[in-house]
Amino acid sequence: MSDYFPFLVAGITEGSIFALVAVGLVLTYRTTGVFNFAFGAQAYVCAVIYYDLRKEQELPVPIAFALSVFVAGPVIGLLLDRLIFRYMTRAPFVTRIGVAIGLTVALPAIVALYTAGEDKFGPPAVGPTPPRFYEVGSLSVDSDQIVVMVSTVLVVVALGALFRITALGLQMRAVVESHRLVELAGVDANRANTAAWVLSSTLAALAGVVLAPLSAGSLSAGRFTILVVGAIAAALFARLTSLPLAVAGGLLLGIAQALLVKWLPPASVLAQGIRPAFPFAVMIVLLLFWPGLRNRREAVDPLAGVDPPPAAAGIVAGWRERHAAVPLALGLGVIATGVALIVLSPFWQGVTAKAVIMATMFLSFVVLTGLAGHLSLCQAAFSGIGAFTAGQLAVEHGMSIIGGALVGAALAAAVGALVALPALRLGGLFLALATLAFGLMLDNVVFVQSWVAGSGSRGLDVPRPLLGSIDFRANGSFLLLSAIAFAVVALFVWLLRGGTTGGFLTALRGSPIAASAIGISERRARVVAFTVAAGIAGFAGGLLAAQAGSVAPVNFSTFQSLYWTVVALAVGVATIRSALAAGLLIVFVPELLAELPERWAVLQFVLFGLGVLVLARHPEGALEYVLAKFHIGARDTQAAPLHPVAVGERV
Amino acid sequence: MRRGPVRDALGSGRVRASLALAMVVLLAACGNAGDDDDDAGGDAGGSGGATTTGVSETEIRVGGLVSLTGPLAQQFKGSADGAQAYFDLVNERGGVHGRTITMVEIRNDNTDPARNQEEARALVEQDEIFAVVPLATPVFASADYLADAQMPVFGWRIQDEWNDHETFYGHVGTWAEIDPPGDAGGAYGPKRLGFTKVGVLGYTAPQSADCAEAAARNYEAGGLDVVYENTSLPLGTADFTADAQKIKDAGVEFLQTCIDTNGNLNLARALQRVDYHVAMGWPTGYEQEVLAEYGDLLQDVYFVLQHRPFEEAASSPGLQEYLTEFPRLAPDGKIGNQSLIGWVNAKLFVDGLEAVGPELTREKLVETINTEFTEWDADGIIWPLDWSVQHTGPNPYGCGLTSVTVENGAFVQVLGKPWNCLGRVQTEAELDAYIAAEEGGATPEEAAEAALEASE
Repeated sequence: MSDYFPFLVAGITEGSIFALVAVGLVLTYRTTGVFNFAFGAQAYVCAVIYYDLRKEQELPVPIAFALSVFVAGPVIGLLLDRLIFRYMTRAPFVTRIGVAIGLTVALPAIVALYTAGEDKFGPPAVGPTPPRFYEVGSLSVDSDQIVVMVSTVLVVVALGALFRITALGLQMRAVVESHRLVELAGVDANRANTAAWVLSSTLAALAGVVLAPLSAGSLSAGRFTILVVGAIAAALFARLTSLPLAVAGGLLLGIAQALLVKWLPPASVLAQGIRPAFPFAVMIVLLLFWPGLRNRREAVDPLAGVDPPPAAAGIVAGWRERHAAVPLALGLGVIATGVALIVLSPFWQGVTAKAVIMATMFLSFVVLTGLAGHLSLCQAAFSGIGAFTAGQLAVEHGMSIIGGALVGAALAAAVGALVALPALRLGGLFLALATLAFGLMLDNVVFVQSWVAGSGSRGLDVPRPLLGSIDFRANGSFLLLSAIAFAVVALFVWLLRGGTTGGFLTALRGSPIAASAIGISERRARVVAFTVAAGIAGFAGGLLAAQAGSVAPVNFSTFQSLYWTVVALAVGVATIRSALAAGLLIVFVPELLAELPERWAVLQFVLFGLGVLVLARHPEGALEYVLAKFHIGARDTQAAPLHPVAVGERV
Repeated sequence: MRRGPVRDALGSGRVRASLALAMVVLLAACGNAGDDDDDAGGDAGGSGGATTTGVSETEIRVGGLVSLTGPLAQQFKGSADGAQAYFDLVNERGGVHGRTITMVEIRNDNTDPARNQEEARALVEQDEIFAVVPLATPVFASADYLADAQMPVFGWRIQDEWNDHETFYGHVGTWAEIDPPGDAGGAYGPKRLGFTKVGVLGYTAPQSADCAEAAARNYEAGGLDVVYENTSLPLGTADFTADAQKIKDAGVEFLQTCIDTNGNLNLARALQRVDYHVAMGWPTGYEQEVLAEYGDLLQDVYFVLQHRPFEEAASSPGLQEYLTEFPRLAPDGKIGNQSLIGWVNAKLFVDGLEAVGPELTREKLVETINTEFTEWDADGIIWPLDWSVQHTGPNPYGCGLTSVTVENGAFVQVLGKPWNCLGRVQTEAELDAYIAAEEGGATPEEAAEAALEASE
């Protein structure tokens, strides 16, 4: 037993970090109904504020602590509520998650604009510096760790009392269940919601301030993102409801990780695979098998059933109207490509080719999110499968990149089906979390292998294709190839959307129960949507690799997945032209920002991250909103808004 | 309302979708460009234009390519400040043969190989520059492209992509000895310090894991006992307590890590928690800022350097100039090896321009440095480089490294003064002979000779 003692203590101290963040996730979810990915980003903002107050302003600890936790935290919560989440209480889960992810992307970028990329080195502690050590058997626990553990306990006790004893606690919980029922009972639901955001943001601030010094060196937003991802498993363990279970989950996770260190030979392939994958594997296992998460429905509002199900918009246009669009779009596409080939320099042709391929990738969001109403947080991982497959086939077997991209697409589609299959039972949020965990696994465990990404630092070299006598090394001809690829995939999506599958998916998005009643299989439709979307993303990934000339894990990381999702949701997922616009914007906005001094480069994350807020008011996406507002172009009659009528909204 | 189209699409939609797919499959029956010919670069202006592009009567335009953001950016971005400051200094003093040097743009590759290629193309095709100064990136995917463009490149030699290109100039030479793992010379540090039980530590990320594994093989070749080898740390680990306990259990005396400064600081903190003191080698962290903030963690930590330590500036006019001028010209910049390397890159470029004279072309610059600069040491900042051989092979004794450690809260030079000459030391016998000679008072070159004799 004495062998195990140090590892248990190490596990508990690390676990209490996860516990504190998990409590934050559970609290926010319970009191606001938002699964707050941005918890880590909020914590980071407050950690930076504490850093500046302590190190730049040189304020004493109690004042700096109070200002960062009890002033900055509540103010941020108030702003989030008043400016953003107040308008989202009735929005579907895609909007709410989308906005939280948008904030995750935008907040660190806003901080970077403020600090001008300057390094915040040596996060100051709340306790003594350097930390004092207290012996526990053969091991010491330092004062920074004790601060975290004490904070966690105090927070859980205080929140427990709040929920059990006070009326406000009850109201906050009730608002999440049903905004309208609470209002019927004469409670100001908005006030309860504001209180909930202020509370959870204060907790984020506390977490940021006490956790920052536990990670020595430079203060980084990435560190907090990693913590949130690890804490998701603990929050799921608590079924997103129980605060004590969130603490227990965090501790168990920490102890399990410490025991892995004890048991696994540290240089073995086994350890190299299991240790990075462990938190995500736990996430997946919990999502699939943890009682209480299975069969969980998002809508628990008892009043939800009194409204008629939202109309299944979409297939209302006549045959002729729909089919006139194709020649028109093709014609415009040919003209645009021709102009680009004549006017642009080879360099900008290369940039445009990349934009068109990204647009192809964004078509996968049109199928999965626009049409089927699901959210995938691992589209970059699917693209990565396509890219590495195409790259390896080209390098090792001399296969054409186009062939490789198709094989990659097939492989990505198969993996997409595999992801969708076990997750069939999961509801919206939990399905999205399952994709996140899966993407993280690929990202951390598979893509880093040398048989995937090559062993060199420069990534895997990927050649450009050769078709008969046409050499696609020239950026112009590659742009042409990319445009053709986009046209083919767009046509495929267009046909799919107008066909049976599209009809089924639209019907399911409108009302799963009604659709099931007329014999539409929800499971089959979901698998089809995931398979097609993953295949499209994989195909685009292969082309992306050829365009760039090399491929490395960083191109298809989970951050990319989240960023792509943010851009897709901000620009729009309802129509094919939205996908095209998203592709052009995600490539050209950074190119334009590059004209400004370096510190402004992060502005792209602010723009798109906050752009998701458009969703709250205009679920059709920014592009369609702008087009409709200025009466530009024909209304895309096939386009279905993401949620024609939000659940629970009066019609 | 809901009529026709659903039924209509039932039959035909699927068929047409399959047709569209079939078209793509047909397209796929083809090969790849540039599979085995080496004139890559395509039509993309690969030649980089005329060899005087970027030079006017009054100006020389240069551009940089640096990892300013991304997972490893903290280790490289200072290089841009160093080069910029040196150009400012030169311009203050009137420029080079009547021309000022303009840094057109520092392009950022975000530590992404694909972005690295894009930005290199933009430098060559958009920015109309004469040379790339500085280039500092862990993902040098644009090496072939820049070489094909005959572009003079001055930068941080990190990877083997620098080798064998006669227009590339790394800060410590272009060519470094690439020894297969199992090179006893790599065991010099711990062996010279008298340790026998050693350990290595790396993240699962390939570069880090490979580095740790190579170190372990080198230690074994040098006759050390590798009692701890960990290449399963997840990237981004911040709590090392359980790992520290394993290090303690293994009884490691010297631990070489292949992780970043943040990781190392957290590791050191965790070792304090398990109450275990071990000498360590860190790849980065030789900075006053780190010492000031975390002095308690740096005791007995060793840093291998490729330049003369700042503490030894008295014996190098070049280092003195850097230490006085850099803080003045770049008040926000940080003194450290990052900015120093950018400074050295810029210095070699400017020295080359001076030597060429007013009639400047890229060919002349390259030819002048490659024939006339046979003992260039940046005024004592680095070991003298012979650029007539440095593109295709290492220097004769493989000299040029040294170490510092922390004693009484300050960095001090140890292990090889002024330099080590370990490049040719391959076997345990050679290493032992080198160490014995050094302990007997021999200079590094003499110790290297002794090692060579021992191998016969």
